[in-house]
Amino acid sequence: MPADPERIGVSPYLAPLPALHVVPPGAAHHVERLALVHRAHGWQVTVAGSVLPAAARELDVVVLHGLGAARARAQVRGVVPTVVLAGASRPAGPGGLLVERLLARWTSALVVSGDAAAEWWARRVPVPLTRLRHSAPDGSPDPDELAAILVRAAAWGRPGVTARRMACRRPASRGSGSSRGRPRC
Amino acid sequence: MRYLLLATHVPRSGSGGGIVRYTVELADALHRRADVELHVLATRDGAAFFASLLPVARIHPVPAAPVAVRSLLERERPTPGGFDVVHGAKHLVPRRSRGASTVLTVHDTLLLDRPADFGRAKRLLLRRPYLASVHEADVLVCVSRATRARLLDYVPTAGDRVRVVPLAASTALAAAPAEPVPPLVGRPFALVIGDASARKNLQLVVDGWPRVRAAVPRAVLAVVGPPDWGRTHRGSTWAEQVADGAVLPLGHVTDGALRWCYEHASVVLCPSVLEGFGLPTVEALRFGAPVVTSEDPALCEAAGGRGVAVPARDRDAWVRATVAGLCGERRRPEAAPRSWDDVARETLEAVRLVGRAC
Repeated sequence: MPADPERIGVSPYLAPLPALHVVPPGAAHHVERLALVHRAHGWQVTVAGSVLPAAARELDVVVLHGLGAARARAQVRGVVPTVVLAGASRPAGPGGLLVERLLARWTSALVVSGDAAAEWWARRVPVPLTRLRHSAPDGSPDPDELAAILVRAAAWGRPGVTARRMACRRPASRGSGSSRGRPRC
Repeated sequence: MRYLLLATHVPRSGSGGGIVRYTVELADALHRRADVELHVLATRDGAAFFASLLPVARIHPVPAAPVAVRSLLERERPTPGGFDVVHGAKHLVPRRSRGASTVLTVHDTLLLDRPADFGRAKRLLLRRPYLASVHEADVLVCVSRATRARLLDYVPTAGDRVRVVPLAASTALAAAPAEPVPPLVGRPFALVIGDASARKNLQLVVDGWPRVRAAVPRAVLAVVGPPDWGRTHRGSTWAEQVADGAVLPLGHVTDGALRWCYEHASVVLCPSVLEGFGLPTVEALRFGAPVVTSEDPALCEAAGGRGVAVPARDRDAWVRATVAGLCGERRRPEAAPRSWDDVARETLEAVRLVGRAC
């Protein structure tokens, strides 16, 4: 059984998950512990300082550590599910708020800890929220809980992709099972 | 207890998706209780349906309007006075309830989790009123523990006001005589219930179906679902498989036909990636069908350990589980299934425990 059946109904490790962790300079060692655990369960985990949209298409999920790294959502733009580990951070200042409001549409899950959850929507940042229940004393997430969050985010699919945008990128072909024809893009 | 149920989303036919079914079944079960004087707020269309259930004086009509506008009116306009309880069955409770306890049923958090699935009007106009309703309601009735967990991700302070009241299989389904579906009679078939939106993940099953047929050549995939309401995702081989007779789209079916499908399916597949509850899972088990679900926590919770759960991203495992279901034995139908009277009773218990009045 999974550690948290309210988060996921089976073990998140039943199938491999290609994931990229994007970390700010000097923080990679914090992420390696998570990566080690996930690799031990057969996941293909990469840790890098940035993400290229073309490479991201090959992944199931991109994990952005901190609001600084999370700016990469502007480059990725929904080509892959993105999970932002915001910890106890809140959007700060008018500029930070504006950025987060703009990037919310490209976010599959924004993972927060403590009482930060209430502040994001209160500050009118319309982002899908997930609250960490278990974390290490240094605030880093529990590897199994994070695995469940990543698997769920990957299952939900690409964020911010409305019906029309998907249709524009992938026009319906004959026999594709699509009920609507090519849209006017 | 004078109880006002907000039911403006119920159409004249009284049938529809999960929330419509919830509202109609709950209204019926509450009306049967001696301790409840049930009233409903309904559109003129919906009033025609409720007239067969309630005295006309207990139906409070509202003008017809587009869904988003109607929802906002429901939120902003004061409710009729003199009620002990005002119950929002679809995402919203009124801002001013005139002293009544307010109850909000939380079916899911899809509008917050997957906003791109919804039209612009709903995304822009309803998300904040929805969250405001969660903050303001005296009692929050979640349909599953999984939904409660998602809700508390957004509103961690709501824990004391939340009660989990799972749904039950449809009363109408249980009462309907089974009607055979001729193309399926005598053939092994897997059954999928739901629309063709991306979230329902029908394409996972359809694209894996040729491999299932390689193992069980006579098998048919029967697809029951409402009319399309947006972009559809049926998989890349849908048209070919329908033409071959490997896939049978049934569209909307009667309760009797659906019951027959549940009673004769070799396996019921629930591949959706995100649900608030998972009524087809419960209904399949009620009628003795083996069930395969995705890893979605609400679906697994509805299955209660009686189904097989497979990761939605593992296509090979889905094929194996489907073949195993087609080749395996059916389950025994539930002897004493949960009923909508149970749902109504537990909802009232939540109101009495957590609400301000009654």
